[in-house]
Amino acid sequence: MVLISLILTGCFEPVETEFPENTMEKVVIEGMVNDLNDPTRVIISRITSPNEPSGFLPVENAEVSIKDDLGNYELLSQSSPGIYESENINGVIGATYSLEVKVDDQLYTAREKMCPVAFEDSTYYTWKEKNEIYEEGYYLESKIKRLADTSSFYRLIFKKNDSIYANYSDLTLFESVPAMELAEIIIPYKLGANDTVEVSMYSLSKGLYEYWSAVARITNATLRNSSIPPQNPPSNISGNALGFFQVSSVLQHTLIIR
Amino acid sequence: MLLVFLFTSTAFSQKFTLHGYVNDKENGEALIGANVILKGTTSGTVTNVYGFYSLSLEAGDYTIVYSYIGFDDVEKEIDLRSDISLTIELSPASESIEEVVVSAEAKNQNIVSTQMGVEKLQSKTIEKIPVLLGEADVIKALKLLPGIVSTSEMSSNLSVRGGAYDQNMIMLDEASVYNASHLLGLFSVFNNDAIKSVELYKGMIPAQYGGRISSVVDIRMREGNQKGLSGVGSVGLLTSRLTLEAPIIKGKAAILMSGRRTYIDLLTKAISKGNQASEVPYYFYDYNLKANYTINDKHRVYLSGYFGRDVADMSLSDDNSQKTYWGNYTATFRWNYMISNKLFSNLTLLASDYDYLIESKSTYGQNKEKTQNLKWDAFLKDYSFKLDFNYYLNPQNSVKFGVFTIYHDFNIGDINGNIDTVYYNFSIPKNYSLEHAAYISNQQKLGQKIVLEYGLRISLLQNMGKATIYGIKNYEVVDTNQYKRREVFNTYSGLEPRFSSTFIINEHNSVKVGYSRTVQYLHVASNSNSGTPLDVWMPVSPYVKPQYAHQFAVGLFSNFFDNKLQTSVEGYYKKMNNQIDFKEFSNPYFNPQIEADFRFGIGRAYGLEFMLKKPDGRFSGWLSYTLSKSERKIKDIQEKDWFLSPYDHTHNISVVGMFDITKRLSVSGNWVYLTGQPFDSPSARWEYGNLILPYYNGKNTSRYPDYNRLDLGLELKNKSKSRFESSWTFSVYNVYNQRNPNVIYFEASGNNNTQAYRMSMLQRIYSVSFNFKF
Repeated sequence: MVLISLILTGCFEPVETEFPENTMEKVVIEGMVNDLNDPTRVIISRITSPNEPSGFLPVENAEVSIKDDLGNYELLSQSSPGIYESENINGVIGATYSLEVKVDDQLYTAREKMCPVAFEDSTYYTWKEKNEIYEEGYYLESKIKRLADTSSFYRLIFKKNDSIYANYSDLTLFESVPAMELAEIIIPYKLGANDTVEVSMYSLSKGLYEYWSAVARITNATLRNSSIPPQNPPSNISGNALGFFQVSSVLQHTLIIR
Repeated sequence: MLLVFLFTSTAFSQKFTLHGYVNDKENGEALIGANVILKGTTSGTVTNVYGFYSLSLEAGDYTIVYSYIGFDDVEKEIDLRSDISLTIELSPASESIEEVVVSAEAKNQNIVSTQMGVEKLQSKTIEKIPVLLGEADVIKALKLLPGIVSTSEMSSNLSVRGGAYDQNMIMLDEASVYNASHLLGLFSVFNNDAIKSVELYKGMIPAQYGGRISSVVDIRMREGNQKGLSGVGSVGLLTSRLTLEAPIIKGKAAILMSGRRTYIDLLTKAISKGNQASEVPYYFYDYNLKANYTINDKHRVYLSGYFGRDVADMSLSDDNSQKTYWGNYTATFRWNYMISNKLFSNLTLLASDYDYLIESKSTYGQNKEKTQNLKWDAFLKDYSFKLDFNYYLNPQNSVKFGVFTIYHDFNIGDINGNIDTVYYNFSIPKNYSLEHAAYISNQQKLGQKIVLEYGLRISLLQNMGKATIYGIKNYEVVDTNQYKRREVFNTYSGLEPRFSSTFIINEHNSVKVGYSRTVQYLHVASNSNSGTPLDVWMPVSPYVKPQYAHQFAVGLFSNFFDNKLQTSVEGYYKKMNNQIDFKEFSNPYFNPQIEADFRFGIGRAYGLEFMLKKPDGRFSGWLSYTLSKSERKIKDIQEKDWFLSPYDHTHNISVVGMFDITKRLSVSGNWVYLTGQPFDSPSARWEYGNLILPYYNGKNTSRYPDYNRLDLGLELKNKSKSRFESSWTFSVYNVYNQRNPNVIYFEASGNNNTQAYRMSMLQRIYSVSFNFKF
């Protein structure tokens, strides 16, 4: 038995490795325009050494502007180190948004169109008895039907009592759910009585879908342990920046389990 | 050019031919590469892969010495006044302590032959090397030879002289084996008891071989005992195996059957008493079958086959099942026809298949009224026709020529399934192609000092319909073309010259130089460096050009102490063209437009290989050291600078020793050391959406820790009773429990530092097995 477990379990342990020396000064841009009431926000930082205790190195004094094809333009102001917010730019389905960021004379630009979340849906919770997959408890289910000729890329973010369940392996991406066909989604987190849950479904462009797939691939344990060489996620921002300018429409549901 | 060479060296005098076969006296098995030498000279020939030899000499009296390492020599006085047919049987060496055969080559064959960059192993040697879990394994033994490394400890894939793992042609009785792994690579699919010999060509690949640019591994199965019933088997912790051989018509026809199975699944099921968590729901099995029939002096036929399967049954219950199957089969039919006593022919018909199937079924809903099913299957099938000729023109020239055609039928993937009432089907169109080759080569002796081998292979690939082909520009699909069934819509061809020469300085020293050009029309679309059972093999296309390589090699071969100690130094330089890499995050599965994710470039590998070998005696073994570099340059990945290929290992050392302490007790050991494989390590990190992400700058910028491992083995033979012999084999794999990483990955630790973790699979493993033969 010892023998069998030796072969099949293997051993995971920390190991000392030397990181290759980083000579790059890369800028990371995280931009978000959506059609919720959230302020439009752009976060700018730099990459840091792998051994640095804090990963966030803000870029201050950047010039950040967003314009859309509806004639709006705004120079964003810094609300806290590295975080730039707009007051007037709000997401409208179908509009195209352009981002310009200037850091140390280097210009970074991106353009994205806001795709609609085109689902007819119903979201409800059900009681599940214990089986091979689920523990006994309440679970959230959604029935979705994608309309023809709409984007097929979405990201689901799940919130339970103010905790966001969008960590590494929980990035949920729907690729090519066939149009006009009913699909059922079960959110795999157990819920209890009086829990308040919020499900947000973000529409993604193909580029953003690929970006989040790449992030999932880097951060998901199963995929990471395959021998596929990891890479940096592909950005839609010119000028060789990391990150993404995300423009999404959002469908949001809030339920209280009773 | 070739003809001029041939005829200028043909003398016009009365000549007669001595020809026949050289066989093992115990079981009638043909001996491959046995020496047939005129006594007192270095003139002579060696038997071909069917044990056939032919020697044309002027009329006269001769003493011919037949020799083969591990066997007693036989001398024959020949009065050659007419053509003579003479089949010789050699008896295994009669010394008190059994010879250990490290190489099938006899005496100074390594000095005088034109072969360089070739490694030969016999199943007897493979048996002696310490084994993992009681299974002697040919692929594991090959990894102990210079210039050959494993792509991962858990893989049966090889990297030969810095090449990628899809650049090796692995053949079992000439049928190509696309995935040689059982248990995800822990064992190879080759059952050592059914194997006769293995040859790996890594340098000057002879013209009769082709299809891959880095190496050819030619594995030959045993033919079956023509003299009487015999068997060999083993009972181990993980597997048991049994091989039976028997004559069907004594001296004329024989059959060999071999099978093995793992029973870890049955053992754990019995012990776990229903606790599924402690069961290991995995097993593999394989069978080998070979039959041969000597119709008469001129005709002989062989039929051989392999069938193997790995099964992983991850089912949770009857309502929730998930099973994965994968495996190969091969079938080979051969017809030897001795057209004349100088011209030997062989016709081969081949079929080979690798396939896998992933199946899952579940029922759900309140009354289990809903179903969810998935079936994913894929296969690679080859059907081939081969005609080879050996023409023994005279003692100075022996010519090989032949033709070869393969029909490739690849189904890269088919998915069918349903989720309740929603049915889906997704398949990649099947891929058809025809690969052809014709070759001619000559081995020519110029006096006593120079031996040349030169040849030319012409190869051709035709892509055939039915097919949907995407036109690609700037990595984007720009148009689509449809082709009808059997329509040839694309053709590539290649010239593959091969040359090597040996300058014999004296009986114990020689210098060899060689050049070869090799072309490969298939590639693996896998972004894994070590290979997986789901690897997608594809032929070239209008967009993807064939891979080709030039290799130059030079070697110095010296023997000492009356050929008891053999040494060699070989240097090589290999340039590889049309090498494929992938854009980041490419997904090779169910991606009909995968070619748009390919990035193309070149590769180069160079190195020095040192070998010190004691092939026989009470103590035998070898020490090998390789100093090498393997690099790539890929457009739009890293086009300015060369970067390390994932197969680069600067230092590679293997020490293998086997010692017979007494007649019944022997010990063996091997130690390997390998510079860690290059991999992508983050050089910085960044934050996005509350995630901490690694930043990668450049390809293969770091290395795994160096790999090293010691294995020991002990064999104790029981006192033999009549014909029945038995022994116990004890072995320890990874004696000092080195934690060699299979994967290194990074995670943010508690205080947000980036911490590297290693996963090491094969730690110290003890095994014992009981072996028998009769």
